[in-house]
Amino acid sequence: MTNLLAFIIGLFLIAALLRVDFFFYILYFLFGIYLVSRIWTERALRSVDVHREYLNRAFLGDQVQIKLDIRNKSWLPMPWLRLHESLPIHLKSPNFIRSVFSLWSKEKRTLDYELDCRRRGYYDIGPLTLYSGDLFGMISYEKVMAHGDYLIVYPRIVPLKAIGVPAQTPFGSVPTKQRIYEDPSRMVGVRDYQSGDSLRHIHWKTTATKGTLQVKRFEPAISIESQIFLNLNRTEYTVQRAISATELAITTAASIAHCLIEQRQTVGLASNGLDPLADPEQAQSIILPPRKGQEQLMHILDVLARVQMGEQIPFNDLLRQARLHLTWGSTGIIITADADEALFDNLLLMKRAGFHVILVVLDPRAPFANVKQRAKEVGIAAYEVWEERDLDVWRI
Amino acid sequence: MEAPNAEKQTKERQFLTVTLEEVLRPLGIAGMITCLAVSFSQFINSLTPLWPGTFVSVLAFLVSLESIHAWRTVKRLRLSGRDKSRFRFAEWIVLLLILRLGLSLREGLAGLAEDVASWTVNAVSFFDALFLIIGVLMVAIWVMALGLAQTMKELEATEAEKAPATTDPRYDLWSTAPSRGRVDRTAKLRGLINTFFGGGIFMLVLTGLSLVNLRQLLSLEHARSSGIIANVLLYFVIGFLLISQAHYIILKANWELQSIPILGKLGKRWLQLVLGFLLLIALVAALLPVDYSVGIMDVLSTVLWWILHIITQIVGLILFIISYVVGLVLSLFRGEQAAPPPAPTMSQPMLPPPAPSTGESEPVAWWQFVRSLLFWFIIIGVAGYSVYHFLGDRWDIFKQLSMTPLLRWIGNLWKSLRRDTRQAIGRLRQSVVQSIARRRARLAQRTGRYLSLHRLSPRDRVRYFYLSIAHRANTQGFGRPASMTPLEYQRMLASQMPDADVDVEALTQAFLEARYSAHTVTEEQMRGIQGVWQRVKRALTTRRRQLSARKSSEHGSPSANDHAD
Repeated sequence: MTNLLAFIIGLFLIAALLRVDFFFYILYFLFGIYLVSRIWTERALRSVDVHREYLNRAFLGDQVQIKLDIRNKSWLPMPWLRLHESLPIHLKSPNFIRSVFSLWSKEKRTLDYELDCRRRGYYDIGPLTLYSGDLFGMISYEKVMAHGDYLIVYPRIVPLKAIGVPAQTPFGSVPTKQRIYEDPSRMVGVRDYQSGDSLRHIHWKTTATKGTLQVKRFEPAISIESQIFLNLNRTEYTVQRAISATELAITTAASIAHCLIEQRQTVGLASNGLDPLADPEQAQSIILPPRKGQEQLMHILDVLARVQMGEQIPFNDLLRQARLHLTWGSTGIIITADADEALFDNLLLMKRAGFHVILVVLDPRAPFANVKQRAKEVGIAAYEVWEERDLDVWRI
Repeated sequence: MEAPNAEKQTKERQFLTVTLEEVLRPLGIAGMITCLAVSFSQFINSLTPLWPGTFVSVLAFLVSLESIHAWRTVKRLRLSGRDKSRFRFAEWIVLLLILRLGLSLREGLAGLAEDVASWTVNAVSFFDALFLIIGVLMVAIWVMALGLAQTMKELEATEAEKAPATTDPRYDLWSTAPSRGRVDRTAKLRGLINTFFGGGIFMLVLTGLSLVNLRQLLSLEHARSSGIIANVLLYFVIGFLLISQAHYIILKANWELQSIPILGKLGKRWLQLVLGFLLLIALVAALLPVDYSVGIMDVLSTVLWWILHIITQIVGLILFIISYVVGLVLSLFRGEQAAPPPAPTMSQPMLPPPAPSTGESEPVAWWQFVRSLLFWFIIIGVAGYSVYHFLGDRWDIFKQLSMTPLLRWIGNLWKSLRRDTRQAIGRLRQSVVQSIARRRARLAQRTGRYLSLHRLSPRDRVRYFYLSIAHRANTQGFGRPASMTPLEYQRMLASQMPDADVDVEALTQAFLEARYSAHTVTEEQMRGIQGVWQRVKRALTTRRRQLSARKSSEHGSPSANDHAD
């Protein structure tokens, strides 16, 4: 219909020349069609609003239902509206949703579709592109709606019972037999005063009742502060096992974090992987200081969901950097591909600094027995996780 | 729940498709062609009354429908070769017979009997000139209707274009050459639209020529024609309906080929929207003026006159106000005894411009003028907007043309003229602004701020009297220093004007009371001080004159010693 303007100009000349009044009416008619068509579609498309309703977090294997509401907020009807929603290829195949429909004034249409969480990760949902045009093919418009919606698929969590994480930090929530750590917040009774007892611990009420000095008895407890060190440096894994081993490493880290949080312990995470939400120009490791609670767990899982392999930060550098955030007596859970001498040196330094260390290897180049032997010499526990069922060692 | 709904929707869609394809579309095409035939007949009738206009129009409608129906029948029955030729032959024989009968029956049965008798004598008379001309016209109509119907059908998605299933033997061929068998819908739609517009121009020209006197047209002295021309309106309405349908078919074909699901009753809504849209535009267009009582030049000149008239009235009013105020101010200086100045009268306002006429020396009513103004405003707006966007859409063509040497030279000349003119205007503006600023600065130095004493309270006026004396004294070299109190300054003033020392004292005391006390200063007191102030002013003026006289006598006349020498 690009010739409509030329026709209008021609009609104007004919009408002016022949002086036929009705031709001017036709001129208005055609011009009205042209003008209104141009304005109508653009305004109507501007008033289209899109809203997605869904849970933006899911676990591996879940089906996420997404409800897409498209609403025409204007008084102008939309003759046709084509919708193209781009989706992550890992969650849906084909990776788009398309449809076409019309919307009356103030009408709303809902589209439902499902995403299959087959792989952990951080996925952008969209963008959604809307196409529309007028009734005569004169003009068409396109509008991209980027809402910043995302979906986080958490890694698999294997339920673990106990990791056997020792700690020396006092005043925790795990009872222990070591009397050296008595937690003054856990009073379990009174006893007779003995020489050397602190006067602050005297229980005055009982003393008044009994007539002899009585002191409070406290239950000893330790706090297990743990930091998971997760190695996702691609170069430290073999080419054949890079993907599977790193995914297994993430699963292991998630499962351990979950277990410790369930035990109401303090857990942190440090990794040299790439966070897609961080600035790609700056190479920085991911460090989450140890905290307690479900919120910390969700925070750790969020990071583990989106973290990817990187190449920029060697694992030993990460260890050196991250252990500065740990308190004395904490436990470092090292999840890495292989343990070489440089790593063992680092671990020995950690041990001497008062930390407890547990080593988990997933892609050893040498037989694991050698690694285990070396670890024993250094005085740390070592485990091999070659596949998921190897995590059963912590289920007992 | 979903299955019955989907089935219902499918049935609705099928019904709509059948209605559109079998009924509405052929009727629309036939209607459009009939409108063209009506205009053609009107034009021919304006040249010769022998042309059977009504019969040709009805025939055009029937032939169009027959053409489309015959084509659909051939397709449905898959006729080919000899069967198809037989079908067509029979079809044309019938059409020509109907034509012949129709022409003969114009004179009634007697005319038919006469014609039959002449054919038996001379078979060639069966094919008279009118028959042949209308026959050729019929062929053209037949071809046009068929072409339009076929084009509309070809816009739909075909099986050959759709991607076959991966298990289909044709899949390999399709995957290696997916564009094979693809229809160029854009070209077809363009052809359809060009046909529509071409037909529109043809119809408008013929209709216009049938309404005006050709001789007068050549000398541009023809009168205006008014009234509704139904076939013209119908042609464009049906045409846009068909174009909209064609656009929908293309969109639908593209969606089908891309496997994009169509949700809801899109087709039905499309039709409803198009009808509603066209109706709305037609109604709004009907409200706009299509005729004018006053020509555009008369309208423009009348509008300009009115603008000038309003401007002169405003200027006159402003001058009147200024002259009245100046007269009042001047009257104050004439004193109380002087007679008040005569009130200036406003100059006789300019007579409004004469009412525009239609050219036959008959003045038109104001509402007719307004309607003409609205008409020209809208029409020029429409034409201007169309030209602007038309050129804008083809700007690259003009850009290419502008690369030719001559146009480039003209363009550069124009650019340099524009640049120089802008610079000259800028310099002129700057110099005007600077000269105004200089003048203002000079004026500010000379006159200072105008103060209206009548607006001041009696206390402020007393203060003003004292401060104005200090200011005047300052011009004579004995102003009041900031460190000096009013009483100390009183002594200085008295020493400079011994004759007015009493008045100076009274003025100083009044100032001190007005400035530093909470006593009420009444109007009477103020008037008394005003008299004192005026006397002190006169004393200052006298002193200044005496001093200047002394100075001029010291400089002007030679000294006694010089003369002695």
